[in-house]
Amino acid sequence: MSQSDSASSLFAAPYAAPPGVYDEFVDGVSVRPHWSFMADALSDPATDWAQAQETIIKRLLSESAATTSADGSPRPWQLDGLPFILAPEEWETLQTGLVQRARLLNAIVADFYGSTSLLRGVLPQALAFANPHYLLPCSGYQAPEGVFLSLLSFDLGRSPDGQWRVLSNRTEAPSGLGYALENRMIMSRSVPDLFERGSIARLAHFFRSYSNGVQNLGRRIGSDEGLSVILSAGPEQHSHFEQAFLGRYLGFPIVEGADLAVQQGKVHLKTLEGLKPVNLILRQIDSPAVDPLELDPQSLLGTPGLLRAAARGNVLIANAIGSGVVENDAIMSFLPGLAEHMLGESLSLPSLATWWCGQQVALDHVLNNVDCLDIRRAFERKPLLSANMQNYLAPDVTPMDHPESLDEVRQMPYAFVGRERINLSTVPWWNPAGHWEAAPMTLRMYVAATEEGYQVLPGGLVRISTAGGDISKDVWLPRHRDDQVTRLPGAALPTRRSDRDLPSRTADHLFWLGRYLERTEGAVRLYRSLFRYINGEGDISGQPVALDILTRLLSSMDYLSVARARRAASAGRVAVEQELWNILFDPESPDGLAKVLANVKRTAEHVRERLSRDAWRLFEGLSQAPQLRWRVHTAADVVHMLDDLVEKLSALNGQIQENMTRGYGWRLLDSGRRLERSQFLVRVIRELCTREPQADGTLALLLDASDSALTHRSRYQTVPTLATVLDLLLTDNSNPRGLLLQIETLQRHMAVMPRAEREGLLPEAERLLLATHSELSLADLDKLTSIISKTGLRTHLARLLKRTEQNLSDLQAVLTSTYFNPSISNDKGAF
Amino acid sequence: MSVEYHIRHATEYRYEHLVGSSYQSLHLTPRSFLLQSVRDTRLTVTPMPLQQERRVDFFGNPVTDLFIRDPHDHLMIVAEADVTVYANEDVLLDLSPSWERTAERARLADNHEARDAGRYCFPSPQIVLTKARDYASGLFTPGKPLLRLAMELTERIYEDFEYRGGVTDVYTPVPDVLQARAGVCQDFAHLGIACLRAFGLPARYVSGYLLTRPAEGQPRLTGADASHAWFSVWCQEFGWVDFDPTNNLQTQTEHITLGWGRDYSDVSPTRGYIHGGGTQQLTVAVDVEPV
Repeated sequence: MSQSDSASSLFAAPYAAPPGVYDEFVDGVSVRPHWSFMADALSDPATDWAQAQETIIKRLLSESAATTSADGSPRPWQLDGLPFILAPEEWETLQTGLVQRARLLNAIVADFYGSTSLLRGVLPQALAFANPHYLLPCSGYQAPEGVFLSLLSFDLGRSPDGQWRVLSNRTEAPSGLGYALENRMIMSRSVPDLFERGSIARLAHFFRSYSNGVQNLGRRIGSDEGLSVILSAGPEQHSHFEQAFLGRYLGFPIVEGADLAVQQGKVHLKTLEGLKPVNLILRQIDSPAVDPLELDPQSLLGTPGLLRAAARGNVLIANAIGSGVVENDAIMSFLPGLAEHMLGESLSLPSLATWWCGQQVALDHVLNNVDCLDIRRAFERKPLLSANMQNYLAPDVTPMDHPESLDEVRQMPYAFVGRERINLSTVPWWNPAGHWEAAPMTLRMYVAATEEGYQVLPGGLVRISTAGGDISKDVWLPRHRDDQVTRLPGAALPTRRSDRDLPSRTADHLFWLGRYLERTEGAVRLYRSLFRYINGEGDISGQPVALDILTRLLSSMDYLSVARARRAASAGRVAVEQELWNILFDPESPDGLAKVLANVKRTAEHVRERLSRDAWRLFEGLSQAPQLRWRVHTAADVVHMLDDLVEKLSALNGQIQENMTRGYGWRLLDSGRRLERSQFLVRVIRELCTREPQADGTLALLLDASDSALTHRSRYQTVPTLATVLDLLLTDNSNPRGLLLQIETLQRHMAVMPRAEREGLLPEAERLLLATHSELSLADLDKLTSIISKTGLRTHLARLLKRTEQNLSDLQAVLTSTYFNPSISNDKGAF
Repeated sequence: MSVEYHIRHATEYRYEHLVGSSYQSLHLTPRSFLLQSVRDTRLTVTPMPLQQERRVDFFGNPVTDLFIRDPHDHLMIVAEADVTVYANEDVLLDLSPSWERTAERARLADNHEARDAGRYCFPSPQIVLTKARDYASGLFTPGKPLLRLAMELTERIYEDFEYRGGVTDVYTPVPDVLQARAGVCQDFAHLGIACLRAFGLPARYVSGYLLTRPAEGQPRLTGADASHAWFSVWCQEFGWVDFDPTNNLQTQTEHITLGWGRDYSDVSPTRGYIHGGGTQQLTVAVDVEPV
């Protein structure tokens, strides 16, 4: 029997629990029974934990899971390979206690914003009115079915006596559920045998019940067609990762405040097809930020009118705005009494002992025990996931070091609590240095409102505090043998949204992602051509292209000012090459690799939940590229590096082409790409071909930069002439890099995009494209190449290019006003 | 004694670019209470709002919510009201109960009035208490009648601070006002409230107007050409008593109340959110005429 063996002999490496605290894994020297299956696995010489841990780290990296560190910078999310095992009999106790707590907290919130009977004699008024999270504009709000709190989380710690104590209630916008899900997915893939052996409870049922529960509440107040969305603060917030993860899992679109519009008290999502009604908003931003009109006027994250819309019962916001009112230390000391008063039950799961200083007796107690209690700000919400665990548990006032800090406690006692200290239990984790170590831990558990009442997630998040920072663990609940594993076969998650509900802002980002990707690719190709040609190795003739052609090209793309381009050209080849280096590698250069790639990455972050994991990994790889600068010394190195970049970009394009659903989103992304490519072509052709005489090597350079050299060679098998090049680039609709094919592709996209029906009139976008298409198709190559003015200008060609350029820039404006920035003052929506 | 007024409050926004949609939440309708009765109110908005709804906020103040959907570069909101103001006569400051006893009553909240007052004893969105306590602590001598103390506080602020626009804005916190030693009526009201709350006393922010042209021979009060603000302190059986630190006086019949709250953020006269518009130019004209 494994549990009778000594703990140290079970591990390939020894483990020792520190004295004086409760250890989750061993009781003295014996392994606790519910960990025995894990201990057996650990003692198996075939189990290589170092290896398992490495796999986990790699998987995390590939997801680029991040969280926020205390100073606001991103910190990689970390997961230890040894899960935390929850004893089934303890689970029963925790489950009962947490469900009771959820019911109680919900009842308190309902009272605070409803009848306020608690504030008339039961509780001190200060618990509401001195609490900055009690939002007066929310008073009178009646939640559907009385559910104010749809999702709660609780942080628990175990004291040396073996008793779990609740350290905090999370009711505002509980976070971390996405991380819990992520951890579980990684664990079940990294150690599948163990997962099966332990017969671990699955998480899917909880998510389904939660999702069904909130959606049904949403439907009670809105139409069946109403959408459910996740309201997020956007990718600038590092927890966006987990929100995107959760959103993808639940199948809800992630929106930002600017995506929503309130009209006549109803909430709508601005989509490509106009305004669509929204029933349910899963709120991931803090309450005050939700509505700049009635709450925090300086909020940039919210939507004006949202609070009123919720108050009138036109939308369900979960959790209800203002739910943070019970997320504080002060309420903790009142929960036992409130459980009796409101539920007629005694509180089954205790909190860490807390004294609220707003009452004289408690204040005296705290002041008399400053050496053994932690004095904390009573109403401050303390994040656990973004801060380090020690800080999260630390006192705010330290009278032993600063006696004067007690003045504030005496002057505003209601703003402070005293709290019992806890010696947290420990759990083993694998120190990458190669041994097991004991670390103090907290356990976060989740409770959701479902149609069968509150339910607890049979899992959660464990946080351990190590010298190298906090690390998470997955939480495993082994099922009893006779316990049926509840996994409804085939019962799908809620219906995925169709692409028809694509938010306008997302559409905008996708379109620009297409543009930026193409712009990057165009720039990289151009730089590569320039580096090749400047050294005379690009052309068959081996002749270097005239320097002024190169520099003019740079200035025409706005990479270089005209004056600087001229100066460099007259100073010779070395000066031009130097300018090229500067443009390419200066981190401040607006057209340098660093900035251009950063643009791509930033735009991609906004639509991350729409990109496949593989595509995302390629984005990550791309953004590392500028760091290669240090390995680049010669022009040949640069060309090599740019070759590599072109390859990466092609891989990314392939990924997107292959793996994105052919909906509006994909069409807009591709349209962005086509429009950018068209504009690039028009510019280089104008710069290189509209003037006589044609410099040597120009046409070859043009073909190279437009990636058409190979096509030209296979088609004409001759040295390029202006006529053959223009035919290939402008009027040949079989060249995938040619202008005509870009226009035809754009026409196909526009033909299926949503549009307003206006009788007899072709929509503006299609009109512009048709005009361009006709002009290009009807163009007379002879005239384009041969009609030359006295000043040496090919007038027909110049005119054609100018009109095309105008049409393309008008097209951009039309797309913007039609799809990306639809005026909400149009009844029909976005046209 | 009572005085009847006709009030006209015109707020005008001119925008650089067209505004696509505009949401406004207005505290522009005076409320009725013991010392004031409001007979007739009218709100005229151009362009015409698509939606206009009246409600009452947490504090009992009337609020009008507007939603304007016609693109516009010019928004005009005119609020008019006929109001009768009754003097809070014969408040004998020295006969009021002590500040300590009043703070205790508000904390115990043992009847309806004390409970209502007890909500105004704490920091609020725009009022922190830290520095204010040090500023006012000299005034809080043991057993001093609260209303006498409030009058002294009013005088003290009036003397220590310069009335000067442009030093502060609507979000300036109390410690910054203390630092600047200057501000406008809103800042002085916030400061007075912070000092009282720092000692556990219930104090609230009052938004309103002043008589525009005083009677012959009387000085014209500061702040009469725009919205005005002052503070009110709860003093048990004396009820809520208003003090105007900008003009160093206890209010009589020259102050017309719009509404009250914990601080400016609860009762700002016009609060709005617009899409588009670019830079904006705001003009406010207030006319308070006795009838």
